[in-house]
Amino acid sequence: MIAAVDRAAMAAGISPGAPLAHAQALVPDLAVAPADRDGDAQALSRLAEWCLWCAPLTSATDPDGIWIDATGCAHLHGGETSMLTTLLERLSGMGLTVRGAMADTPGCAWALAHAGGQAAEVIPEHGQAAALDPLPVAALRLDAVIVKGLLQLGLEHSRQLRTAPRAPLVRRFGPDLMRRLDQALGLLPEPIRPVLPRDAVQDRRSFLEPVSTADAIATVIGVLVETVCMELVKRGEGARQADLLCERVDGSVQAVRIGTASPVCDPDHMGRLLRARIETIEPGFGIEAMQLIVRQSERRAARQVTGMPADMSPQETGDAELLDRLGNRAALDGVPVRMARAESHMPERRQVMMPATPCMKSTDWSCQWPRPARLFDPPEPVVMIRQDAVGVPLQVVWRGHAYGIVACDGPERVHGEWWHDASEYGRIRNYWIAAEKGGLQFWLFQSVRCAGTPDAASPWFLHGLF
Amino acid sequence: MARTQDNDTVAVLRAQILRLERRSGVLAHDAARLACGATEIDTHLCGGLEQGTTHEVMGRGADTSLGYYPTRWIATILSRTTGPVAWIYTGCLNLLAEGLFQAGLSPDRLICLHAAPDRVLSMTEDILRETGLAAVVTDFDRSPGLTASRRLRLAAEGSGQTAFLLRRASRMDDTALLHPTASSTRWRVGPAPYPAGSAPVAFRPGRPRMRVELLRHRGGRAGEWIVETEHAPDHLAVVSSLADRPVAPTWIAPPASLPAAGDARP
Repeated sequence: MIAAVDRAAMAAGISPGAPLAHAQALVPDLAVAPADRDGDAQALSRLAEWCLWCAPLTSATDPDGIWIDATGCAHLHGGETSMLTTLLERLSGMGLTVRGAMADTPGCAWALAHAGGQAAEVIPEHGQAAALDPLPVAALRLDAVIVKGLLQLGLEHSRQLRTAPRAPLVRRFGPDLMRRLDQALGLLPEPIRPVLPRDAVQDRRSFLEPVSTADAIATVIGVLVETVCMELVKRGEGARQADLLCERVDGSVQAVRIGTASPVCDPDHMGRLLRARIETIEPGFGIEAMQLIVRQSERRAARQVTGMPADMSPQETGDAELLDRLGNRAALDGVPVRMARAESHMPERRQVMMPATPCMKSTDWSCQWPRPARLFDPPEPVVMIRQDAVGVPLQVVWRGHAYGIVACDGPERVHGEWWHDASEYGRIRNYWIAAEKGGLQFWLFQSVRCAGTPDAASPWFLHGLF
Repeated sequence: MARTQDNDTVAVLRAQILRLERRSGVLAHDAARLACGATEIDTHLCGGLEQGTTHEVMGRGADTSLGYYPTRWIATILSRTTGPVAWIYTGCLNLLAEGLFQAGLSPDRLICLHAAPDRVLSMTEDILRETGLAAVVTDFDRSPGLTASRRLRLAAEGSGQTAFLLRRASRMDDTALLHPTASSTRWRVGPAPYPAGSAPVAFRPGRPRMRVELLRHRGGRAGEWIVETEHAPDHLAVVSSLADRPVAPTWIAPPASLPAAGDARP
């Protein structure tokens, strides 16, 4: 059986999967080398290690792929498209034939890399369904038997599969089919098993009898955490990200990932974070081994345990632990964020959302002028019906309702920041606080083109309410 | 002295047992209170908002879908607490840090957590079981219904955390917001109208005023006040305890030396 062919052989009409005798009949002087699966796997994992330069989490996937978790790394290489092209260029430079794709889920990226139309493709956020629709069902990493069955039913493309009723298909082909589809669409999580650095802190326990109760899992977590934390303390490090892998009797792996806001080497705290996630583990027929791996660790500032006051106050420690407990919630979308001050004149740019860290400095948030507690984002256009001779607003229409202004204050003048956006050059916003009869206080601004007098044609916007 | 201490211990133990039994009706009497700063309202609430339970706040009129006034009211109430506040939101977060600070809630205390719309209530319940937070604010536009709100309340009672449900609705003054829930109090906050007969563009807008309606109060009376806030933290005063009573004229009189709004232009 032919395992793989090169370009010349493919041109001669030989394809993988064909019998060797058939190929030799087509090309009598065919150069044949016996397949070395183990050697291939080793070479692939070496290549996965080589890919560590572009992202910290890479993983070799059978038979011929490498997954790279590019979360938070793309901007270091000038964006997603540029990262992908750089990577592919370097790999081609090594003499490899490569295809790449970047998507929200490993499944979708795999499908596009194997069956997509382009050699390098970046799928926008939440674009999996649209990208997968035209692809054949084989791109979903399904068993050959299932693919054959689907083709017999006339389900050729993912789109047909996605829109078909699920229950009969699951009954016929088993849960694997829909699991793969959901993983590719991002409805089910799919952890990748990254290449492990040789010196990673980890501990693995296998059991005589498979465990399946929450109590037993909690006990094992306690043991694993104890060993791992001891090793971390010895190295003077703390874990920022750790994976708990539960190997089930049926050969599949259940993974739980926890992240922390600051380096942690306290067994109680880490154990609490892991135990809170026990309910997400599905033991199935039982778990026969559990492994705790520290994926990411950071150096911890040395601390005196007794005697002098520690460098982190108890309040800060409590804060860090609270953030970890909040950040590891299953329902959370993204990470906990906090507001941080940014230098700008524009009200909406004076704050940025930053991932929450335990030791945030207290910021001076005071402002000379009144500000609303929320902003319209983007500002809502309003129609100014009446202004007096000097441009004071007198009547405004917002959301189809006319409001007579009884009092107002302004203007507060804010200049556009051309260093952010060239179109803001010479733009001025004149902010007014305008109160209407019903007591609503509008925070209005007129966007004026140049430094001259505001003319009546300049648009008005509502930016907030008091 | 020793006797008083004994009594204290017994009282603490009793409260603990009550908490374990989750008999909220009895517990409400002894619960810690969160004073909102205005004496009239605090007296009406027997010392302030009950802690360890859930409170609903909603807007009125065009603000029903936006939640500007409720945000301000919650920030004002939380200005007298310390410690982190979890702000759970769906969609995009449009809070303005400087405005929040002026309303009384320091943005440094906020931990913002984004939740998918269908998981926002389960996440609130989950986070209510945490300890170490000053309050949990959930900003969402769905109706929790009796069962879910009862679950939230039980979670709050179990841990002693206070939750504020900032409820929004896409329809103006949606009646679905008034359907019964298990929350302890329900507030509706909106702008307070200016008194009739004020001259146009003769004075500055003045301090922001809010008409605060206590629509529902478990184990207490409803109420209605007009409050005035300053653009600075920790300033709240009740102007009038009835919405339809004419407001004292002193608050609008502009100083004679103050230039009219038009003159302020550079």
